[in-house]
Amino acid sequence: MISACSLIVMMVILFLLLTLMPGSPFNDAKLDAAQKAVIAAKYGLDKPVLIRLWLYMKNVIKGDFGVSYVLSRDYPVSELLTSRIGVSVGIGFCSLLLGTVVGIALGLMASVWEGRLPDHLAMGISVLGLAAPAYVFAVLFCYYLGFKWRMFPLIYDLRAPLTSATLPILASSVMIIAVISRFTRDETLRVMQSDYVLFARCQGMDKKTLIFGYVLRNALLPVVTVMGSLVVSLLTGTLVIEDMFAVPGIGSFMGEAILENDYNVVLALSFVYAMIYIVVMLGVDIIYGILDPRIRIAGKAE
Amino acid sequence: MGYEPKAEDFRFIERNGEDNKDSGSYGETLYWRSVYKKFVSKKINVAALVTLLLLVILAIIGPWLSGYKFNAQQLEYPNLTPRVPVIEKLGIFDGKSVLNKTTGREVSNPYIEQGIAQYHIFGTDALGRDVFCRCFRGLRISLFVAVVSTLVNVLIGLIYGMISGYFGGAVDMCMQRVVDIWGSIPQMVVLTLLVLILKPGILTLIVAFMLTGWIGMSQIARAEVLRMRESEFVLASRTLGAGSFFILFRNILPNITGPVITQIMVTIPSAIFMESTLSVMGLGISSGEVSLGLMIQGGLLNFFLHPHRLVPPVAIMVLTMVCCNRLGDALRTAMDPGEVI
Amino acid sequence: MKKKMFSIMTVFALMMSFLSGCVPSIPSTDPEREIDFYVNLPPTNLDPQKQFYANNVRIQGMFLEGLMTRDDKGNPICGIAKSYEVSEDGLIYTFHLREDACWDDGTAVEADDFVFAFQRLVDPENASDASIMLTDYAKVVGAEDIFYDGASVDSLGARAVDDRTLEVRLENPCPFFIDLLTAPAMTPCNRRYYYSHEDRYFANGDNILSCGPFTIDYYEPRGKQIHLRKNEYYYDADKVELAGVNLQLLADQQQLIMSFQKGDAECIPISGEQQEVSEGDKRLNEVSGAMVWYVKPNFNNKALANRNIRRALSMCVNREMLRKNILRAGNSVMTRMIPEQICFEPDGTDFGGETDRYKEVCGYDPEKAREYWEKGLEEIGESGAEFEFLTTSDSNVFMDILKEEWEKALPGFKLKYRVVQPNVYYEELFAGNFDLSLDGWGADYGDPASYLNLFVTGVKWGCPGFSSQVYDKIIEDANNVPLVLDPVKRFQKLHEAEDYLMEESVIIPIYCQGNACLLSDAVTGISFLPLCPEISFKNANYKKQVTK
Repeated sequence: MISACSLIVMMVILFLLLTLMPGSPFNDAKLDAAQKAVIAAKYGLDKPVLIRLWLYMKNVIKGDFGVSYVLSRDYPVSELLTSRIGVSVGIGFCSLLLGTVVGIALGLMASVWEGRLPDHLAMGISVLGLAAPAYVFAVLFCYYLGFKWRMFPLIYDLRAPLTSATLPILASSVMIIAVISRFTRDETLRVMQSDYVLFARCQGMDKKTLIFGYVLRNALLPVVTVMGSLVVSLLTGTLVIEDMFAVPGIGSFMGEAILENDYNVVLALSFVYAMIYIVVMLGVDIIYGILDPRIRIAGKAE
Repeated sequence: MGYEPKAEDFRFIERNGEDNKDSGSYGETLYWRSVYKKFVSKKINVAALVTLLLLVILAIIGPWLSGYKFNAQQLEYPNLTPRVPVIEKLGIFDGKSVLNKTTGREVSNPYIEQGIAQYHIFGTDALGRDVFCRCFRGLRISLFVAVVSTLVNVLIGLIYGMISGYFGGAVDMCMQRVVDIWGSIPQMVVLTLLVLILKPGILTLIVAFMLTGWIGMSQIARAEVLRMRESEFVLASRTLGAGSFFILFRNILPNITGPVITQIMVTIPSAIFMESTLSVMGLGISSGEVSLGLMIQGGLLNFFLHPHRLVPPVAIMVLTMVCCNRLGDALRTAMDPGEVI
Repeated sequence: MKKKMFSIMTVFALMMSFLSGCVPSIPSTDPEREIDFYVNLPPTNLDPQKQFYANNVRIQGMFLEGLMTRDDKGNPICGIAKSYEVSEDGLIYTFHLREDACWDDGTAVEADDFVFAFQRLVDPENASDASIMLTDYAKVVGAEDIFYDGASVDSLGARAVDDRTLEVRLENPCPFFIDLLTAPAMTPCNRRYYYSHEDRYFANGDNILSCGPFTIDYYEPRGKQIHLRKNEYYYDADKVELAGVNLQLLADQQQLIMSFQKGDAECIPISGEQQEVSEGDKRLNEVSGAMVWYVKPNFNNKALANRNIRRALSMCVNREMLRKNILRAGNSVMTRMIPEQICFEPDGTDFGGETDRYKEVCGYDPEKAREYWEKGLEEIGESGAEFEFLTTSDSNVFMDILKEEWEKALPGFKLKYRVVQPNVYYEELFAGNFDLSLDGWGADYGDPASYLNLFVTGVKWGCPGFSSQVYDKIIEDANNVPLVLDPVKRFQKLHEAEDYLMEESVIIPIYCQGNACLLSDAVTGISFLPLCPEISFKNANYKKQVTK
């Protein structure tokens, strides 16, 4: 309920911000003022802001995001976005998955061999991953994996969506690996110091069972909470990554839409972004509930 | 049969004895001393601090040190490779350039071939401008934008969060909804829109970061205030008749300096990051200025042929980020009152 | 252990299915006969009768074909038309269509398809900016009335005499009408197909009908890839060797160079700073262009209305230095308004060939420039002048250099940039809210008039405030009877017009923008031309090299 409200308020704020933008969607150099007025009237842009806002919101609630003005005149925005969202979400999801798996592995490795080579190695990767922007890694991967060692195509190609998506996925997963491994390590170490772990060790439980059966599960709880903010920064990161690899996703589309005043596309894209954000936050809550028996039981009791 | 306490089991604590030296300015100095001790206990923290200070100093005097002006063009010397005095005698950084052309590798030394007497430690860019000078000029601008915007948004976030947390109830409810909504708008969208509406420039970037960055701080401030609101010393202060704002700013504020400083150290690098991402998207600062992001963008555009243009700005940025992150972590650990030395 | 392996496998299977499941796919053709061609300019709309924009025209030229097309030298030759006749007075053109010209669905191309295309072009409902071709460049009977006054489209002077014969009537003889017909806007449009796909006509890959050598089977608006497939029904299909072309749009230049080096791409564009990377490479393909960039002064500015001041600005431009240090493959410095290789006189000489014709005005001479400058300032009674340079980016190399040269050579000269977003640039430009700007104009057809008509009083692409009766008269004479029927005399007149433009330093030409690309040795026969169709794969051949 609250998220629905915030979605609507967000759209309103953005709508008003967009009307402040300089220029109009119809700045075709060859149109004169009279022609522009006719076109503006056709799309209802001549009406006062508040009425336009009202009409727009009414349509959005019905699921109609209007048509594109500039990027592809008269093409329904929802159709423009569907295929793009697939590509972006696919790549984003894969990098999240890859990042989490590798990150947890690295973090565990670091905590098990704390203070020794694997730890330094893993933390070195983490520090670097946090310090350099994704596009720097993208360039490095391109040069070595793509160009020098000829392993993957450098440019996204719809004819080979699997191989050509590898580099963008790798590039955007670095940041996730960095954050997750760091978090996993710290949390695992914290849990390892707790009394119940000490107790288990005293009882002579072997290390493997201890870590995978008891420690990891508790250590991962806080890790799940950072996932939400990670997804948000992933969304930001893809803007540049998509441009670089020519991925036909929503990230690069956003930039174009804003630059060319395509109001409807910007609004719809923001809506999508906010939706992703809200869904992820919800997902985090659910996963948290599954992992943490306390919440699960408390939930059932209610 | 129990034990009967006898008179000799008890004794007075000597009023001037060693045992109770801890009266007087109890909290303050001891706390900060422990923070200092914890901070210094790891050499890497000190190293990070020193490096960061060095970077800041270089950002201030570096452009002047280089002997070039950051926007002085020398069109006849484009894309020179680094050449460093003294070290050049070792055979590295002597201005030799290896070009990865499509026809193959091409090794040459433009300094010798064209008889250029100048030294460019980091080489030059496409218009023959000194990269060293531009990098540190860029670092200066990036740091300036990051620090100013961070300070302002920490201030906004602090006040907002404190008020929201302290008064609670309906006030808190309303203020938190505003935060929720503002937080669910993708930050990048707001940033791009603001940059476009306000015309690209340094001030615009500061304003944009300011408007989007205060949420994190406000959440932390609110949580801290919520925690402290019910504590004894606030109660004591209130019984003594202190007003709300007195309690907030005189009693609570000093107690949350730790999280605030940590938050500042976390926000600065993320602002530097944001600036560079915006620049790479072509929305960064403009009007003849230069920033790290702009330098990186230029490097990215030419990296295949002139990798020497990408390395210095990225290295400086990575170094700055590593130091800032390290310091942030160190301060967080050091200022956590729960942890004992 | 097995369980773990299983879970890892599941994770990867999930990833794979996610990746391939939710993305559109491109129908594949024979990879041995398909090339990867990279263009960096994405089209905004592929409907040829809708939007008239260089990026669209380039792509349209690759797969569409109209009555006329061009040979590899750039001369107009017959395309869908088998032959044509022109009446004595130059007013009636009769085209005979090929019997074997077919749409890619196998149906025949008929004369009515052209009639419908021309009607769409001038239909005010369609509001195409390419209508200018029939209302302005060549005045087809009735076109103006239809477009501006809403007369019925049936009154257009184009009619199908029979299925294979098309007749077009002009109001004025147009010496370059045949040349105009090579434009994609003049390609046919099938009435039946159009009405059954009205909302979606040419909007994406599923709704495109072509009668050219290729057709499009994948295209999304603002996508990053376009896939061309050979049109099996094309009249010359036997000669088309390629099975398909994968057009990649909007990719990062560095990625392109690496892809090319790796052998993933057969052709990549080379632009700007990056051209150094392929200097001296035999695979570098340079094509001179039709886009002239010039500094446009605003004549409403008191200082810029002065001829001596404009002349001073022009003489400060060190074009030799630009050529040596800044301009890269494909571009050339301009010392006049008409570039080379675009317009040819009746005897075959290049109209813009004589590049030092105006060396008095466009030669580099800061000393003299200073004299002109001071003389000019004296005439307007000022001691200096400050100008505002309207631009969309503040990192334009040309602008920086101009600024430096001007400020160095001319005492009291001040320039400041006004940076606006691209979407408001033209608004500002046409409103005249600037003093100087660096503006480009590309010819729409191979005739000097395409450039020279810009500066006639009232044309908004010209310089604001510039109005010269002398110039207007010259152009009017050149564009009307009797000169239009006498090419030799007409070209003399056009030279006169250019002379006037340059002598008065109305504009300051800087450079002509061409294209350059790296073309793999494995591909032969792609034709590159300065005018549309700029790129043609009709005769292209591809021998895939075995990579080591």
